[in-house]
Amino acid sequence: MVRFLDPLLLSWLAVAAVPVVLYLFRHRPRQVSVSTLLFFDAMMRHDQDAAWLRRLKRLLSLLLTLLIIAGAVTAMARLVVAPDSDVQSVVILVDRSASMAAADEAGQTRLQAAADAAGRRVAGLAANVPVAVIAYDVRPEILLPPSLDRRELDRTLRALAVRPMGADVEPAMHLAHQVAAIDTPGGIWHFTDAAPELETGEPGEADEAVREPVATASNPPAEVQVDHVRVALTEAVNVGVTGFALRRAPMEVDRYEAFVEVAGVRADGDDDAAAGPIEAELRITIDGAVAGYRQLSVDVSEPTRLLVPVRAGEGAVLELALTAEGDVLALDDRVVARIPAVEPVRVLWVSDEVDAFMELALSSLGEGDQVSVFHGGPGAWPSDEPVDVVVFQGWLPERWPEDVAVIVVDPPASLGPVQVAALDGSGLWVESLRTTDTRHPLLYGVAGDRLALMQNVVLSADAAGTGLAPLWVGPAGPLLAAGQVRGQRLVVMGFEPGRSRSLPLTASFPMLVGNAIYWCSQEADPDHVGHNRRTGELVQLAEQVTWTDATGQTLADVQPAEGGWLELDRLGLWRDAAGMLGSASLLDGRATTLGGGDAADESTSNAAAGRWFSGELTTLLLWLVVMTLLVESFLFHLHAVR
Amino acid sequence: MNEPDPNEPIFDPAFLNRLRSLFLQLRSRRQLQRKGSQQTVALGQTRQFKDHRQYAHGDDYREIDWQLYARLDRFYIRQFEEIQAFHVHILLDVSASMAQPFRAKRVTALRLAAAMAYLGLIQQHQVSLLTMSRRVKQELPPIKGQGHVHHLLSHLEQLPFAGVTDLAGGMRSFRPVSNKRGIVVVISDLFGGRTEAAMEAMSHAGHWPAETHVIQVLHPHEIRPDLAGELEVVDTETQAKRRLWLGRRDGERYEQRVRQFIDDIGQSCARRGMNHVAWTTDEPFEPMLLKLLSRAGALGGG
Repeated sequence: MVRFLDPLLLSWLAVAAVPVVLYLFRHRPRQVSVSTLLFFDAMMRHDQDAAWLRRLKRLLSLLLTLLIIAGAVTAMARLVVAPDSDVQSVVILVDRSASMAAADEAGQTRLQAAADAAGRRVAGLAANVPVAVIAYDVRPEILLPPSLDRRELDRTLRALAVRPMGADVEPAMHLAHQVAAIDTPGGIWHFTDAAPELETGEPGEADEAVREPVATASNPPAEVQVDHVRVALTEAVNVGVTGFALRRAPMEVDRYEAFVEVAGVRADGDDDAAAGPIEAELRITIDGAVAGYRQLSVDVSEPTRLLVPVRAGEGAVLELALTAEGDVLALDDRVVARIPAVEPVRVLWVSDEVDAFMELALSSLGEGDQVSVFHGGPGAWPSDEPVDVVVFQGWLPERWPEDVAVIVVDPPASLGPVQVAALDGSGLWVESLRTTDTRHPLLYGVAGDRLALMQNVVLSADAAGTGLAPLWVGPAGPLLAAGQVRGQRLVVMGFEPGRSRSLPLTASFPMLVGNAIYWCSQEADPDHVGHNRRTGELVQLAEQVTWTDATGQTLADVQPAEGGWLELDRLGLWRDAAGMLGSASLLDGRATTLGGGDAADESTSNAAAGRWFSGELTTLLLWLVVMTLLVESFLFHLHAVR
Repeated sequence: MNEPDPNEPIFDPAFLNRLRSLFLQLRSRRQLQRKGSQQTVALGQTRQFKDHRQYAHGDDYREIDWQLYARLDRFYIRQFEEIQAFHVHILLDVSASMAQPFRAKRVTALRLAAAMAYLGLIQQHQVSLLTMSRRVKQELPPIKGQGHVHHLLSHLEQLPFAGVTDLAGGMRSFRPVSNKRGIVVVISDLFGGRTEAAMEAMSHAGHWPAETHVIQVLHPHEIRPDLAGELEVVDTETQAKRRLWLGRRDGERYEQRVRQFIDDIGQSCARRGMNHVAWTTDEPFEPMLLKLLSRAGALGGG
């Protein structure tokens, strides 16, 4: 829709009549008699334009003059171009998640581009259409309720800032619908760098946006329509850490393993051939001292995963910093984490008899005060003391314990999630095992292909049904399974260590038991080990919280909200008044891939092209006038002045 | 600028007096250079005794002076001086370009024709007046003697200047009388329909059995036009029109082309043994005429 904000000034177009009249009634050239045309003809052949060319030039000159007048007048009348819309209200929904901090070559972030695009669109709106602003990251926030105050709207858009966290568009869109439904028909202008997931119709159908008719439960269809305006970079390279977990190395003192996932994205416009791995460098720093470098070749189609050994004591600060040439987003390049405090794992071992091999395996874990093992007969269960892991060997209680991690060795019968089928006779020798998941933490350091076991029961292990995943499968069926059932970690070994020939005397058995104890003692979400969390999460903390960077420099002191809840809204380390320590990192795959999807798709190109021709075009028209003047000067005055 | 006033009479008594004075200057100059030259009053070739020479083998025995042989008993042959009367052809371009838009060209051309004819008549040469536009036309039958001067001048004054010039055609069709030695004086601006026409004309003139003088009469504004801006130029001969925009540099380019044209004509004449003079109307008449006659051997009395 094309409108003029000062249409009265269009009357100045009458000025265009002057050059037209001059063109039509121009004076005839002076007539001069000469003795001969010989030399004029020769000169015209070389230096003078042909008659048709002169006529064309005069016509071109007239057209350029008219173009200058038209451009100047339409600029004065403030031409605005806006998408066809009859909306009564507009909600500007702006993605302010971490990926919107990606900057182009000119240094403009996607959020700034979104604010500019929104400003241009608003310029094309009628003055009586209220506009609201909602920004969202992991949760939405109404920054400006529906308002006719355009200056306040402009201030709100200018004050938008990126928050280093992921994005959740669904609750934001839901909120935007509710606000837009106040005054229908309403419109939602969704500015984001993410590829629209609900688009209908061909890209570019509606101005610079992908239009989506929306029907919600509270609104009749087409009462609220959504325009997705994509502001993604058409050319960008980015790598970032999208996954991080820290765990203690089994049977090691002050040794940890950091699981790191690195993802990358490369958008090269239409140049698909340029896609390829991105070379990056990962610097590992512990308490400010560089502990190592890793050169990575990050495949854009598949995240790169690696284990980084960390040797550090409790409370040390581990920092991972990723660098790559041309990286457009810095927020996802850095991860800081505290080495968690070592709390010994309390293990209660309940069995009818003392199995020497199990005793040997458990005692080997006690070094370094990492594991405390208590042993007792069936009478020791339930325990009066809190325990982290209970090991039932050859015995099961009558009632399944649901509040503690459990390791069941050689179960005599089925109970709770442990469902077994006894093998006939005195068991089955298993000399050939099939390992279903070699990367499972339970099997770390365990050589499963050189074992010979006495299997007593066949486990019912079905990850989809029972929640237990089989890890070792013998000829008769699964004999080692692990899984998480209703938040409870569980390991089941369907073999008898004492009767197994090669397993107990090898290092694999203590490793297996140790892995099982550590794995079971971990929280269900490994990311939360040591309170190393993602930004955007809510944590309950005490009193004042101090944010610091990796070097210990204080960034901010903040007060948790009522109830002690604090939103982790920045990157760094935090400490509350009660001494609770933690960290916050972005770790968001959507942010690292810059909104996901193909950043150079057609809708993006349309958005880039369309932004020049939307909103108030005064500046563009003035440039057009200047350029036309320059062209006219070059064509008609450069050679005439001589 | 000494450009002649187009409104003043072309052949007033002052002009004739200047011509006589000019002739006297010429004659005294020639007499200083050469004494004893005689002329006959008869037309055509005559024999005037000059000297004796001892007979040599191969000489015509009819030339032997038998009276002298009787006295000296030796063979001598008589030598004679041949005195020849010239036929002066004045070929005057009377196309429109010679009178328009610059009438001074017409005045200069007529005065030149008059001066040349007067010189011819006063030296007892036979003078023919021919005009040239589309074709060459004999205006007067050959005349001789000073008594025809006034008749010649009045005829010249009545000559109409109009039409287009066919330089090459005119020169090709014109033939001076071949059994007599002649002098041809071409008075023209040499503007034909095309630049090559002037070269062709010079080529034809080069074959004439005569001493040829080409006097190119031009107006200064024809060499460097005083024009600028958007113009519609009209050819006075053909009435053809051209619309153009002239700037300062165009004037310089135009002058370069005209001067190149004049130089080409001059070189073409020089190659063919013809005398070429570019005569602009702003130049003083008498000095230019003296300069011309100093190079015009026969007509200058040489």
